[in-house]
Amino acid sequence: MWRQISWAAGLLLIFAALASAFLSARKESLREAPLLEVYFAHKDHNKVGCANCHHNYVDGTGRQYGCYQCHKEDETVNLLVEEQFHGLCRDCHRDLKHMGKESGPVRQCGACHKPDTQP
Amino acid sequence: MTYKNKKPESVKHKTLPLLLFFLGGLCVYLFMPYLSLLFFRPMLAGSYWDLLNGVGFVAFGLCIYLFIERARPRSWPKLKGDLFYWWHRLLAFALLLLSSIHGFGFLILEPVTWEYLSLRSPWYMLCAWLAWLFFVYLCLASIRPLKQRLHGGFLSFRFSHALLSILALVACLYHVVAAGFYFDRYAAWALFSLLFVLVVSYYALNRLGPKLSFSKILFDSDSKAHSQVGTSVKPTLFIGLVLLCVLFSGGLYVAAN
Ligand code: HEC
Ligand code: HEC
Ligand code: HEC
Ligand code: HEC
Repeated sequence: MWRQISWAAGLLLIFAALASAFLSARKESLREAPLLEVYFAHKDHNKVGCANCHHNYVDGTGRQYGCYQCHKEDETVNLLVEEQFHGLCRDCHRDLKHMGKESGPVRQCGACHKPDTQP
Repeated sequence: MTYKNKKPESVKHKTLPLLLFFLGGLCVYLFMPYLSLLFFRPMLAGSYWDLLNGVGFVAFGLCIYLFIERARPRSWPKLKGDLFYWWHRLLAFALLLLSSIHGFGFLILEPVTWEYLSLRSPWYMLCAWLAWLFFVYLCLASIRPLKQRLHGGFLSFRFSHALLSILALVACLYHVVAAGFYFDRYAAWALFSLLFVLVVSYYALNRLGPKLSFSKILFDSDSKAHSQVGTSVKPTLFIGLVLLCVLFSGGLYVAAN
């Protein structure tokens, strides 16, 4: 009986150690991930209010950096780059498409992640 | 001798239409959920996304089916001898093929998804790769020569097969739900969780023993279980299931949004 219990406890410990090592490696890798190239042109978005995207213009998070740089450096958000940006860009495009209006790519990675030709 | 001469023919005539009916039902089960989801909320990201996701949904349906069917002899439609191993293995390799098409299709058509092969990809993608690796192991380890090598004892094969299949099923469920392609409308959630709860409770009730066997209570009028269960129990069971579905889908919906 004790043998089985100590076996189970040992396995659990090993599993916990592996999981925490994995989690910290994942965090490290997320923080260090290079930004992907994104094609974004303001002229495609001139019908959208600036503050929809530039939330930092109105909520006082600071104007000294561009979006990507700040989101990459700020410790509170730099694990969420993908989640937050995909949430912002995709959800707007998708909702507009469902309303039958013209909008940008929804899931096609290649349509957004391509070299930025215009500033 | 007379018994042996008579039996096979009558079985043959009876089971062919039943078999076709069963296969038709299986196809409906595999394709309907995705088609109805597509009807509610198409993806609007190009038809290849819808197509590959459809393949993925069929694979997920197969995954649940294989889990429930468990390569056991069955009376309807008749699967005896080695036939049920063959059937289980056939569908398992179909599942492996479909999930590979689903995954590698994206890697080929959307090269940016190579980014998702690293450990920093989102959780629902990590789950997907994990589940695929489990599928590969589950399929390969069941081939006889390999099975004898990897699992000398029968028990170790059974244990690892059960454990890995449960893990793979859960990982797949998380992948489908958390990717959030189609499940941002309550209707889609309700439909999906209705199906899932029904299937899982069917499985659970059937495993609890013949007394509680769901199919026997409902369909097999001359079984003991059927007569034991009073008429009031069936509506209660039904309402309980519906409540369970509402709770399950609502909970998942709130958790995900
Ligand atoms: C759809 C979202 C969106 C809208 C709407 C939008 N922007 Fe931007 N803006 C961005 C993104 C994303 C970048 C970063 C682009 C890059 O680095 O290639 C950016 C960069 C900029 C920059 C340079 C970087 C910085 O922050 O100093 C300026 C200036 C700017 N936007 C001004 C505006 C103004 C003014 C408006 C309103 C007329 C506006 N933007 C509307 C998304 C948007
Ligand atoms: C100076 C730093 C900074 C800049 C510049 C900045 N952000 Fe943020 N952003 C933050 C912080 C900090 C948060 C988290 C704050 C919060 O949760 O309210 C955040 C949150 C977000 C969110 C999530 C909001 C939500 O409701 O979940 C999105 C999306 C976002 N930013 C997009 C952008 C875009 C697009 C730009 C550029 C157009 C931008 N950010 C510029 C710091 C910045
Ligand atoms: C609030 C809504 C909204 C948000 C947020 C938004 N977009 Fe768009 N986007 C649009 C609309 C509307 C169009 C269609 C413009 C047109 O073709 O007239 C569009 C078009 C595009 C296109 C296609 C341009 C083309 O030539 O076909 C790209 C690429 C794009 N957006 C990228 C982005 C990226 C990257 C972000 C996130 C930083 C983003 N968008 C955020 C509304 C939005
Ligand atoms: C609507 C435009 C859009 C689409 C479609 C899109 N992305 Fe993104 N993605 C972005 C933006 C904007 C960012 C944040 C800025 C950056 O990484 O340069 C981002 C970030 C990422 C990151 C994180 C990079 C980092 O630094 O952590 C990954 C990984 C990624 N995208 C992968 C994908 C994949 C895979 C797909 C296809 C399934 C996809 N994206 C589709 C706009 C898009």
